[in-house]
Amino acid sequence: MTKRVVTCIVCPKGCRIDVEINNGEITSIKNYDCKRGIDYAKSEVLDPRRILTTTVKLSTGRVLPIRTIEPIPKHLLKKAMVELKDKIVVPPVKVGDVIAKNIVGTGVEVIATANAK
Amino acid sequence: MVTILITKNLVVIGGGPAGLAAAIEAKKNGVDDVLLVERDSGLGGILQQCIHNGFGLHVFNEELTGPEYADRFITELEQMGIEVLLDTMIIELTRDKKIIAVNREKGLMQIQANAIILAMGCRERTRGAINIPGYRPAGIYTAGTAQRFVNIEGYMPGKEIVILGSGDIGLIMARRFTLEGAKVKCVAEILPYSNGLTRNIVQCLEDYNIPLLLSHTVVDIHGRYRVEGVTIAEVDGDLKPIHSTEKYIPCDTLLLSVGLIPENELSKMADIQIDNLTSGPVVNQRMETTIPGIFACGNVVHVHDLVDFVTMEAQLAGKGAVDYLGEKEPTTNNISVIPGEGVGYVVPQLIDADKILNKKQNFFLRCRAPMEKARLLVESDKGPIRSKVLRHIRPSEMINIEIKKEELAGKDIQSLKISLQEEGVIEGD
Repeated sequence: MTKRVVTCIVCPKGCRIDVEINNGEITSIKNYDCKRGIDYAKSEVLDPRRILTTTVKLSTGRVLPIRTIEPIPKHLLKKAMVELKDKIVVPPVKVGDVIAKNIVGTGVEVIATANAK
Repeated sequence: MVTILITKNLVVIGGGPAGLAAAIEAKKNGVDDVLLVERDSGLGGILQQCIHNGFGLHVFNEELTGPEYADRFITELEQMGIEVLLDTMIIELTRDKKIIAVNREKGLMQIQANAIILAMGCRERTRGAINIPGYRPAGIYTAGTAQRFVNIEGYMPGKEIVILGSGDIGLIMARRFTLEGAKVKCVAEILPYSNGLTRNIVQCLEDYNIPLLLSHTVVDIHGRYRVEGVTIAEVDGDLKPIHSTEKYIPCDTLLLSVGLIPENELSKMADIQIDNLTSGPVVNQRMETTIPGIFACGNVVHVHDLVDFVTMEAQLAGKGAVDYLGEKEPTTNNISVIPGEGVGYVVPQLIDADKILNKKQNFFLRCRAPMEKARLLVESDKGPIRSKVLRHIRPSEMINIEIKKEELAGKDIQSLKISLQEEGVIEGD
């Protein structure tokens, strides 16, 4: 059996959640302040994911902020950056417009988080 | 010479999250003649460059990026038809609510307002504020400046980076630089604990194996024209560098994330009383400064760690301004709020208990030092009001306590003291 302390990042409280793992399965989760902590601790131990926020080039010169619509596996973040590296977006773009589909094969969409004229 | 004379019922100074929410709230509650003045060419303030997620969990119950959070308010403001002056700098503010503003199209303008809401935000402390010796080469940036370069202009300020200070913007930029292919060598923090939110330590440093060196600082900057390296050293209990621990780290860029200061030049011009603990205006229960009719909200009052609380504070200021514009009797601010033991500051600093809005009063405070377990005590000169145990408190994370109006009103209370006392942690508790 292994024990892990997971610092929850769902909200700024930063609960330190105690997780016990036995043969790759979670046997106990303790010391969380809300339900979101349970889900976070589970995912952090079994399949850690993060929302990727970055920028892509605009054809007009500056950059456009974007994000994955859902968290993607942590180990794929750098790969996703590489995949987005040479992308150039032509305005106009509105908040929520899809910029890329199925990023690094995760099935997750990447959307614009700002408007560009 | 001033040629344009304008009169407005309410002028909001600053178009960041605080100004946007305050203007919207005032208009919603019946003030028609609202003008928002912003010195940048667009609305949203610093949120526009905060492209990371984590905004809006309290206000919208979902996780947004900075630009998305701003966009919700900008859209609402536009739909409500609130008048906005962009690219306009306010250069003078008087206690009788006269504003001198200037922009390239109209030149000088004089605006007479019945009420004003200050929402100018804050700015970063720079190298000058912390006195680092050494050359003055290119490659030294505040974290927020670097953030603007990367996230808005699309430029990378460097390839090998050392970050001094563990403020949230520095942590966020450590991750951002790493994702963009730069090497962040370390984050040095002079204090024995981090100055950023725990979640940012985890997802910005630990996720990318970036070392956080607590009790360390930069003692020298090398390089004549461009940064070539920095010398860092451990500090002792009095924060003095220990020479035997000096270490040279080659790098081409030094980022500073060493704190924020509320921007109160205009407030001081208007003779508004400033609290030395927050560096922002002293405010009452409805975010009114010591000059009646001039309100303040957001980072101009005290530096927040969450934009959600800026929004809530701004909505209170907006409502407060509406109250002021409609009221006959002046406020009395009969209760003074005092930060007690263990408390760095408390906002608001004054209360008129009869005029508390929304039937409750929120107090925002910060502890002086981290504590694993602490008892929060709220006491008035008439007796104790609240006692509550808090866990894992640290100066970087604001504490919010709510007191009901009936606990304060009609009791002839003169003063209120809020303190934090460390309590022993019982194993297994």
